[in-house]
Amino acid sequence: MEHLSALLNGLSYGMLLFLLGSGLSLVLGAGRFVNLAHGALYTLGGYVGFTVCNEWGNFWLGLLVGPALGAAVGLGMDWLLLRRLRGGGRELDQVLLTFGLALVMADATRAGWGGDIRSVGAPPPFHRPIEIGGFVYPSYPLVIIGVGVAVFVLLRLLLRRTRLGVAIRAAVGDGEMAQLAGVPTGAVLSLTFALGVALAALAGVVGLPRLALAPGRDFELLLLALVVVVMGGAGEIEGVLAASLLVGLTDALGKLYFPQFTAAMVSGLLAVVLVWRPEGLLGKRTP
Amino acid sequence: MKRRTPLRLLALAAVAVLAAVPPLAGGFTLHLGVEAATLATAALALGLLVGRGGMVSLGHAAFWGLGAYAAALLARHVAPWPWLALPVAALVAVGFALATGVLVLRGRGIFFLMLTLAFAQLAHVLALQWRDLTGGDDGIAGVPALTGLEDHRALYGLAIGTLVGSYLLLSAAWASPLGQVLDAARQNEARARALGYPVFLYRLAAYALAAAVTGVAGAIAAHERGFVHPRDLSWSVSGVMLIVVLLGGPQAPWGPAVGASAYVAVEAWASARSDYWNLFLGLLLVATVLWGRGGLAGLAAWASSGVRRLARGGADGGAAGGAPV
Amino acid sequence: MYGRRFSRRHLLRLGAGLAVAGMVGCGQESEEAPTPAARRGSGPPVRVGVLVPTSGVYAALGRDLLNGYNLYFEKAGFVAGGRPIELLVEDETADPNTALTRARKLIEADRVDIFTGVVSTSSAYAMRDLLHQSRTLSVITNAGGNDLTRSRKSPYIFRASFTSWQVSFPLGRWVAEELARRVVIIYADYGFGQESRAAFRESFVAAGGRVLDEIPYPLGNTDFSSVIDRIRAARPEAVYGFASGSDAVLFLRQFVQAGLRGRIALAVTGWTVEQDVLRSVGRDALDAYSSLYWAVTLDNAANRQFVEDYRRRYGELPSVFAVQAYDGARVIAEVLEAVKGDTSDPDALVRAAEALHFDSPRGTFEFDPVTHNVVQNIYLRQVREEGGQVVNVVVKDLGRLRDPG
Repeated sequence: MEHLSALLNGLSYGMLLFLLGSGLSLVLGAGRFVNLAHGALYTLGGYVGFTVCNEWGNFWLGLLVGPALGAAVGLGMDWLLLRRLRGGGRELDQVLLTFGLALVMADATRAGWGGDIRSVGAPPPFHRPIEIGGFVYPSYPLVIIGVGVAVFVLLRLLLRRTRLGVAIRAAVGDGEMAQLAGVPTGAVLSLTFALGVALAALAGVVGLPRLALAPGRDFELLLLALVVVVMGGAGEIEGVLAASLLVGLTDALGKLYFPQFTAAMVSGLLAVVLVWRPEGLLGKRTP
Repeated sequence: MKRRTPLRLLALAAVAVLAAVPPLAGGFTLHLGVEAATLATAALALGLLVGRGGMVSLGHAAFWGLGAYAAALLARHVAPWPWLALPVAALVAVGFALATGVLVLRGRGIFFLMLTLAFAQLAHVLALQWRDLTGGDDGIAGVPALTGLEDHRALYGLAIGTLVGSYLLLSAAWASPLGQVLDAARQNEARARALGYPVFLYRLAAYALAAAVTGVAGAIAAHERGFVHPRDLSWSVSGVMLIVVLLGGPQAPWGPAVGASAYVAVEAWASARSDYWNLFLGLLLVATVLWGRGGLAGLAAWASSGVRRLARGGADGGAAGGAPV
Repeated sequence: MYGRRFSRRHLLRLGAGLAVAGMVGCGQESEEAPTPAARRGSGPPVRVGVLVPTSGVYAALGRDLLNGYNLYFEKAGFVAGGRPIELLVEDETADPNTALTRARKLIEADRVDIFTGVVSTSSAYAMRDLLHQSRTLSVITNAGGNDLTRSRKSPYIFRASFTSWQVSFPLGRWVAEELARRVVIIYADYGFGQESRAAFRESFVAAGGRVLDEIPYPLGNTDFSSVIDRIRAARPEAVYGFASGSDAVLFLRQFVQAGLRGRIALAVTGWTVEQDVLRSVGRDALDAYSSLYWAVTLDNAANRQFVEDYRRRYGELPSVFAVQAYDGARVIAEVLEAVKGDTSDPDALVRAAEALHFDSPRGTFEFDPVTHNVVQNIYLRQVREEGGQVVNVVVKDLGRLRDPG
């Protein structure tokens, strides 16, 4: 019984990590852009979801408003500041700029929502646990798993089957060639960034009933996002999923068998994976 | 050549004057002075890795923290002798660098970054969990002062001496064959290897050198504060060090030192005046990227070339910055 | 094309400039507490250094503490001992090294006469020597690690808040005698959490209780599912826990989502269900028992007045942190009255503080002359809904406790 419980814990935590990391991976892999404001954007989405839930009493509305706002913010950030930093060789500038933005957003959200801890209960009907036979398990984590799977499937479809997806991969592969072929690379990359931010905000809203928001949460989550993205191979959606589930399950099973080492689990796993495969789980080996 | 020296002398004089302020003012300013000097030393070391080797590390605090703990534990359990504390701190840091460097240097770019982070985090967790040795989250308080350096002015002198010594050592490394190979490998690793250079060994050597310098800096800081905490190993300290390097400008060996001093001074000034220090720092970083021309070092180069142009322009009677005929 | 590029840069510069101006401007207001014209006070102001977190994970506690200080001093017109009072507030942050630097600024650069605040125990340990060597009268209004008034005590350091022992020790016996004999202990895996667990266990086992399992969790934990699974597996009658701030919020939320509320009783340290947490979780915390040295519903004249004043001033119910600061402010004011505003002799200030005895919202307030820790009553409370608000209701007085030192 406790193994089934631990398994589900691991899956749901892993899926939340996937939701968190998917946006970052999209921006990094498809957009070749290091966005260290990702954690701050997650928490911004969470705060928006919290406000929507509180003001209008509807959690699900937050799932729409959060990402929509996130996309708008992403477009704004891209147009105003980030456009000029695209392309190889400017990674350090990207790191510094987005980190600066993250700091600005941290204080801005503290000014806007205060330093209090913000959380919401699971939305009905998921505030009750499910009971099958003697097995009791909270139902909201299962919602997270469902949302995660849906997002994964949709993203894969987007990247592989739609024209936009093809355009994204073309713009990344060979920008000039793509432009000659008529792909509006600038617009495509902007859209990709906006999508990445929208995903971060979505993750923020979805995670709210399980993770409370407090100052400092944004950088903790940025770190986790970086971990799963890099462990997965820094670009492929499948890689992020694999890494997230691996981290989630290791964390859950680790807490079951080695509770005194919990804090070191994730770092240890990251070290082991990257030492074994320095380009990440599904990353491409460079000569 | 002749025209450059007055400017450089002026800069050196300004630095000397600034460096003399903390011991004269004493008290809190002296404390800030040691904080700035030790952070600058650590930043210089990271600057070698980042600027010359293109090795962006987010685990630099591990060397700092390990040096700090080594010094604190030695002072507590053996004796607070400076000639013991500093070398041991350096050795412990180098040991960690060698042990993890073999693994960490297998990664490139963002993978290297995350590996350095992972190992530093493991050290952080170790410091938190090994309560019997490190005091865990309570930290080690009441670290005895170094013998002969109980007066913080003397300790400051040691910190400045270490900073200057590290600068000389690191800039020598920067210009030396080691630095040149690092730079070549940063630009085109395959070519450097093809030319026969054991890139991995050179990188490991630089990594160990940076560790030693940073470990010593951490040890001095521990004695000045009288306190060590697992936070000294955390990614937030690594992050500050990286920011300071990028703010100061990694293309010049002295850039990070200026960045560190500026950071300590501005933080003390701004946080006393506002609740929103993060906002201020964030805006500063954004401004640096957008208009900063490569950090403070870049700005300084731009400014000094501008001064030179003005001087030349004045002498020539108004020629506006054109190339000399 | 040139026009478009210019306009975006212009927009950026404008935005940056406004932001900086706004930040500095707003900052100036919130930096120092307002010091209205001193009507009765004369002479140079008494400088009180207040070190509380205004940013970072403990920001909410810092805000409550500042509210408490301000409420008291405003009532007193920012005058005590015939002199005006000036509060110099610095951000403690969550980093002990930064806290130490800020403390040094207050003591060495600003030369404060009296020092107060400090949320984090590790920060308090970091600055203990500084406070002691500078002989600055320090009124600690949170940091509760036992050692600060035991092995690391100093004549100049007074603690107006609590020790971990004071809160958890009496709870153990009550639980064994009145609630449950089979209990699971959960606690945050760091100094304060470990001390709390040890204190509870000591009295619980001595009164005949059985500890079925002990589950530590890392501070700042986000996923309590495995902790809750272990609780469920042990089948206890009750859970004793130490968790505060966001840990408490998450644990309570996830405990309820797992369907355990009503099936397993909660008997926790008071901070797990204090007003700051109740603001975030509301009815999810109902029925939980807790022990603490105060409750918002505590029925004495001083508390009724305090809650009323706080409500009127800040529009919400106070938390225990506000009380700690309110009492701390009163300690400072009464010390100044006792020495008639003469802050030149630190030892006189110490004697004045030792002699204090007044009615605070928590009951009778005094310091133990040996440890300089507050001697106070501990109350057993339960979270209930009263008058449309979720609050802690006092169920029993567990007695007056003096930390053994």
